[in-house]
Amino acid sequence: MSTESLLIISGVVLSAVAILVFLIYYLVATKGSVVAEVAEKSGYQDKDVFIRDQTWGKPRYLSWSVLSANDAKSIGLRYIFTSLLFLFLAGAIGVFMRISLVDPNPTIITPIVYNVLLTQHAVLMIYMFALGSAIGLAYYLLPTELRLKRDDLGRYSSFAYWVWLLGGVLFFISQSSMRWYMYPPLSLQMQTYGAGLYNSVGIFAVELIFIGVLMASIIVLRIILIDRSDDIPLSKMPIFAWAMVFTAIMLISSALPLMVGVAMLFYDVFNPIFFLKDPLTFAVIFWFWGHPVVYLAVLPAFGLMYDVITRFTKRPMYSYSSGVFSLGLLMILSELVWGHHLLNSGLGIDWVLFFTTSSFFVAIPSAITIFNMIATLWTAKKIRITTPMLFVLNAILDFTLGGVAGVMLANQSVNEIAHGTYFVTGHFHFIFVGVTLGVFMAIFYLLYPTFSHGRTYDTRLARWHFYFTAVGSFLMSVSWEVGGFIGMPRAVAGYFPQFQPYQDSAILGGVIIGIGQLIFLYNIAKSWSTVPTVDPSNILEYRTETNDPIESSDLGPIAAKEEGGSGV
Amino acid sequence: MTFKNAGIGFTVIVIVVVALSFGYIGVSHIAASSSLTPPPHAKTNHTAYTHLWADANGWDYNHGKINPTLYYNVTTLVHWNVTEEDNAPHTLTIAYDGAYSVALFDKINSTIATSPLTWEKSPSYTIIGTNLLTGLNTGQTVHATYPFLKGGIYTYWCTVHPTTMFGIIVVAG
Amino acid sequence: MNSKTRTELLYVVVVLVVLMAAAGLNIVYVLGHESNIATAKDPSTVPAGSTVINVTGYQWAWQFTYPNGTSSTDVLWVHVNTEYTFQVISKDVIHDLLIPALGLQVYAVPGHPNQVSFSVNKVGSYIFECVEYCGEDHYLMRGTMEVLS
Repeated sequence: MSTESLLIISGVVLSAVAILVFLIYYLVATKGSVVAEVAEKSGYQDKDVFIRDQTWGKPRYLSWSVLSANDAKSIGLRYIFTSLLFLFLAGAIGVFMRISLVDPNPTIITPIVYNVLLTQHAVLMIYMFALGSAIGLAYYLLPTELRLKRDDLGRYSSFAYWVWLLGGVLFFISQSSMRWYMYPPLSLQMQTYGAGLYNSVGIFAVELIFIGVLMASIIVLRIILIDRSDDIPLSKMPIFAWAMVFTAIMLISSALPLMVGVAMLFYDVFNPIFFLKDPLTFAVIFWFWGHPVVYLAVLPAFGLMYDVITRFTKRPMYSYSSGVFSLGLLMILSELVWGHHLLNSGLGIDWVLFFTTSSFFVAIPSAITIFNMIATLWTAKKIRITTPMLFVLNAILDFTLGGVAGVMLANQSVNEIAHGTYFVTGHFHFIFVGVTLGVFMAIFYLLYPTFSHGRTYDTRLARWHFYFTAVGSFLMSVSWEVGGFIGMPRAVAGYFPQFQPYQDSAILGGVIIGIGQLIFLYNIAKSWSTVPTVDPSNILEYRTETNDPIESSDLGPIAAKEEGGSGV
Repeated sequence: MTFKNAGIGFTVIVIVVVALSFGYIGVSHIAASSSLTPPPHAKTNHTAYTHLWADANGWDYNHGKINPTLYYNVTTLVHWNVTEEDNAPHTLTIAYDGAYSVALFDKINSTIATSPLTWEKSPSYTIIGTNLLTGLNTGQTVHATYPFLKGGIYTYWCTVHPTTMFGIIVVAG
Repeated sequence: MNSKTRTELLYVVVVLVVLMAAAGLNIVYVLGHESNIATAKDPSTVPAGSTVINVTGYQWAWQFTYPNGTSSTDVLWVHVNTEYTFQVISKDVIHDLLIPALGLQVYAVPGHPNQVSFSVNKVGSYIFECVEYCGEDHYLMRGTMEVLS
């Protein structure tokens, strides 16, 4: 394609996009001014406050107006559905990468494209899906769970959302192939064979994402600690609120060093003075954030798992105080283990001893958490096995399996064999697919009647979604752990032929997970087009104290539907 | 089933965004894969030395065959020695035209003299730029290397004089 | 103390004992194998009688330089039951050499040489590979270790 025709085509496309964006802006602005007029007539000066008061206490459903309204629930819906969108994008990338590994040599895509997809899958999944869905659920659930006194940071939250989204989109457009570790000097190699031609944009986009999530987590912290209703003491807060407190503190404390590091890395693109001489410095700064961030993906999920379990067993938590305590301990300990990602890089024997030992002890709070959940289930008289509950039970199983693999990796002798192999990939995919994704899906199903304004999802399709996700993720992660233990390296576009059986079964697992998510997407589209039939309230939002006994009538429409087995 | 239905709208957005994203990666990959920028420490199995004289009237204008066709084996590291002959600035630029076939070679060979610009398309790679062949250093020889890692037919030319200084490179294998 | 707390404490104690036993075993292993763990290059800590092999990682190959000055790329020749010490450096970006059969892993970092010692007690052919993503052909940065008698 010649330069002229490229310019003409890109000009036409850009004009079309600009017209479309203006049209959307025009529609939103018109709608906004109509609302503002109504608000003025009702005696409001600020239309956002008007919207908030109008929708206060009512189940909040998804509509296009969440893009213009700035109340906490609208922000939450924006985050939840944007992160779901990125889940599908990054998930499709993941399945595509799996399929390309069907042969020991690169098949349908070249190594360069594989590396781009590898980077995008990781960054979009962690920053856009895991962090985005946690922040979104906090914005959506906490205002009603904590009966907020005020909600006046909407504009800042909206800014945080748009900056985060812009960062994610820019990162995808940059086609960065630096991997999410961003290790220099590779991330400074602006070539297709290195980090990608436009990796400076990629580094900048990561910084934008950081600004967005940092702002949002400060606001979430304020919502919980300052804005909650006066009659909810800290000791009576829902465990999800506690989980979000620890998540936000951990994010704020560990993101800032890396934000400085990424800014220095961005400077290095133009004038390499910081990290080119000693790239390990950046690696240490990166893992100071990089290890906590993997806990950021599971801490909110732990809080939500407790909430789901207590609602479907009609039992209070086995021990509320030890649940909160173990989440807090998890926050503290997980900030002390970052060096176990660099054990073989020449840290020195003393640091190796420190980081391996602390990595063993980070398992204690995780073990208490799992114990607490199992004890709650154990003491229940009856457990309602609904689709959300199935996802949570599977999350407990997967977290145990993935966690045991993690404790194994804390051994220096095992780490020397398995670090950098698929064993690690299997370890964290057990946890990410089982806990982060599974619990998000459980909560999404619980909130579905609220999101869709009184519709119920197809129970049969939801069950199939669960079975495919659970079986697929188990098959994929187990194949990786076995293959990895005999030395199958990760992040590769091709592999030694003797690893083919493990790769092939992992491909099968990946494809099964992909089919499961397609069923989920079809379920959304199908059941959203039915006529609303049920009360759009849900069992997560209206009750605050997780540690109080639950009346049997407290279970919402989904539970009733599933128990009857009628579905829709 | 209307656009006002947020669930359907969301599903449509998911499908469109995922499809567009894969299209974006795919299209830009086709552009990137034809990039001729050589990787660092490229592994080469052969070495060749080629001497060209840069003259606005044609490569090697006063030295044997004008605009010669050059032949190498695949994975050859070519050491280029280019001598500045007239006082004009020059570049040594290459582009990849496709895998080797007799038909393609005949096509390029028969049309390159009449319409050389057809074969001098982007993406191209400049091995020696005008900063080295400035026209101020007449008679001096500039040295550069380029590894041919992919077999096929390339064209080489000078971007300052694309209609007179052009030729074909055949990389066998 | 009610029965709930007792159950919980019992569980925590069991977990603690298991983890402390594991952590203790790990400490014992680490303190007995300092030279088998990758550390910063230091000629004074090379075990006596150990043959030093210089390893250079670059995009995308491993080069091994032996004491007699010869070198090999993507293939490593060693003798069985002989103590060797790798001194590992990278020319460009961060790499990570893994020999899975030996449980030997060491980062190759530009400007930060590392060293690690090992010996093989079985003749045969084993794979090694780069396990730190390093660009386009990262997956081809691999080879075989040939152990001779």
